[in-house]
Amino acid sequence: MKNKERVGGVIFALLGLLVLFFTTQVRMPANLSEPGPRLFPYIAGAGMAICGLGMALTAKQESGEPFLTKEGWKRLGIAGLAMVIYYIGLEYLGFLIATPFFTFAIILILASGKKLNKVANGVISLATTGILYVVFQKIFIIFLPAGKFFG
Amino acid sequence: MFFTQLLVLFNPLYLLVILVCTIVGIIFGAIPGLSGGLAVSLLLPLTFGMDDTLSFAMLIAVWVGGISGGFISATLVGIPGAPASIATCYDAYPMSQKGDTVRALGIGILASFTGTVLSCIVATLLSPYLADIAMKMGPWEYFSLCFCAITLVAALSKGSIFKGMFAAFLGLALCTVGVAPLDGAYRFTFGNIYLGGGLDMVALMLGVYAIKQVACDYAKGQQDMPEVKVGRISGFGVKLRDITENLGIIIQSFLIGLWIGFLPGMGSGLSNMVAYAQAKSGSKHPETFGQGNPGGIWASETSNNASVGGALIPMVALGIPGDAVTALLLSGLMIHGLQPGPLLVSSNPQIVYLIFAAVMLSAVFVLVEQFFGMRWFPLLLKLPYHYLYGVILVMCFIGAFTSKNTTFNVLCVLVFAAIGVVLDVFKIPTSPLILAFILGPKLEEYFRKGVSYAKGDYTTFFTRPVSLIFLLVAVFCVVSPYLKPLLTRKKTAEVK
Repeated sequence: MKNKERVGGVIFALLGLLVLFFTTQVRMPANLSEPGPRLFPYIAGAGMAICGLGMALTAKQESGEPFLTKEGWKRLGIAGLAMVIYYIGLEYLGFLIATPFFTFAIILILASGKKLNKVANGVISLATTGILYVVFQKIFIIFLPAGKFFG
Repeated sequence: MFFTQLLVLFNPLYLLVILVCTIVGIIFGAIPGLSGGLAVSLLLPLTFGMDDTLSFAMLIAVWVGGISGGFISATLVGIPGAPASIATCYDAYPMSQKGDTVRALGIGILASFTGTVLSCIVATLLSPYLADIAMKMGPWEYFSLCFCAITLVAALSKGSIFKGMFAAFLGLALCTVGVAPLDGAYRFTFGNIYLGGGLDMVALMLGVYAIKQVACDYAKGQQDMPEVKVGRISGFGVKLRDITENLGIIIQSFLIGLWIGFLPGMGSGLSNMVAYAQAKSGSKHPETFGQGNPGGIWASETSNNASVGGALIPMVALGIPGDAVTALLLSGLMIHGLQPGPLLVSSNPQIVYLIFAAVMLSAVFVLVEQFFGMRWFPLLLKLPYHYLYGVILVMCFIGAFTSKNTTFNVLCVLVFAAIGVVLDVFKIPTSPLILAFILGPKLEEYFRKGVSYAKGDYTTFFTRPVSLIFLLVAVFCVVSPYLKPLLTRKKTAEVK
């Protein structure tokens, strides 16, 4: 636990240094009577670096359960993957095609192997897609992703 | 003006929206893992196409319902629906286990109503005066105020101060992406046109708040609720004696909740614990606390709901959000083209009073819904998580898309959710990140304007008394955790 905190602190400090590096590439307008656009990113980067180091140096041995078990990380990975696929689906296939499939799949995933009525799941997936489509696109005239293949 | 706005809300459509949204809020508040804040973040994108009145009625209703609903699971299964109801578990659950479920629920409902309504009255009366004072402030004072708010939230976060401050600096770094204020210089866009406009507040909220919550709950396997074992629920349960015997606790807890809600970063999550501890220590029979003492429920529920009005005061009068949920409401104001801050009260008083009127009306709706819907509370806790979470996830993605009308924002949500998970792994609080992200652009603008107006003189921030006070408070908050042990050690040495 202590090692994890230390490694995390060092990574966060490096992230701060990265922010500092990219800040040097921000263009500075000439003849400014104020600090300019680099000051706040500098403060943010330096702050992140200092706090990261502070976290690494003050890391304490903590007892208790880990954040996630190995199985938990696996579950998180599966949920994350499903979401990434949905994002790709929204980008290329659009809301109307990607959403019912994603909703159906994510409900199955979230049910974690519990017995699930597939018909009810299908109805809920289609209803979610339909309701959101009508509310956003028809009632409030807020456009939903059409998909690159169809848009 | 307040009553005019209240009358505006007495339109069948607005009343229906408040009715539905308070119920949604109660459901989100009652289910552990979900919260009123999550409901606000999900509904926020839906308000893009609505008029101001409908949008704020909706957001406020779901927020008030969410804060109040937290006590339901605390009473029925001993698990708080939200951090605001942790102390409620101590007495409401034992009381429910003794067979007094209706009384415990009744006290919770009435305490929630009392806290919300009284605090809203105070907020309505105080906010215009505070805004008048704030109008006299220049960019120096505003900078110091924003700085003070961010520092307070970061320094008072749970765990190491480095973690709270890191989250604040990360929020500051994220908000600098895009075009810089005043000079229009591009920062951290890496040639990406979507980053030119900066990172989206809604995407950050949905990622760090909603998607992370759902994904982590699933990964931890925290989707199952213990079985609800309560007897028949009927009647209202509260007797006049319950009120008169605990009047002192009610007043004391209300004041604690109001004050803690007013301070940035210390919302209802803290107020219920402080009020409970005060009620217990001031009681003639402290040993009865934790065994079903009605005073414990009054203390916790009055104080956490009093924080609603407390948090509204700085949000409306100064444009400073007290916690993550008021930050969401503030972003709701910005999305509708309103500039939060003291000018809001003079330039858009109708919106300010509409917010207060909506809180008041929502509190009444919540009271009626909870009293008459009490018998269905156990059913709320039996809602199948997989369906609920599945729909929430879809709404998050669509909310992110509609916020900027680009799927790039959906990608941002995923990245923010990943950041949220990493922060959770290292127990880094997210509130400072959100607050710094929201206040960051203002902080930078006020600082640079302050220096520019003073012709490059940085000392103005310290020579103006109000600005200096805010800066000193901020410094004290950061330094105090280190000073305390030193002072205690010195005192102990002197005694020896």
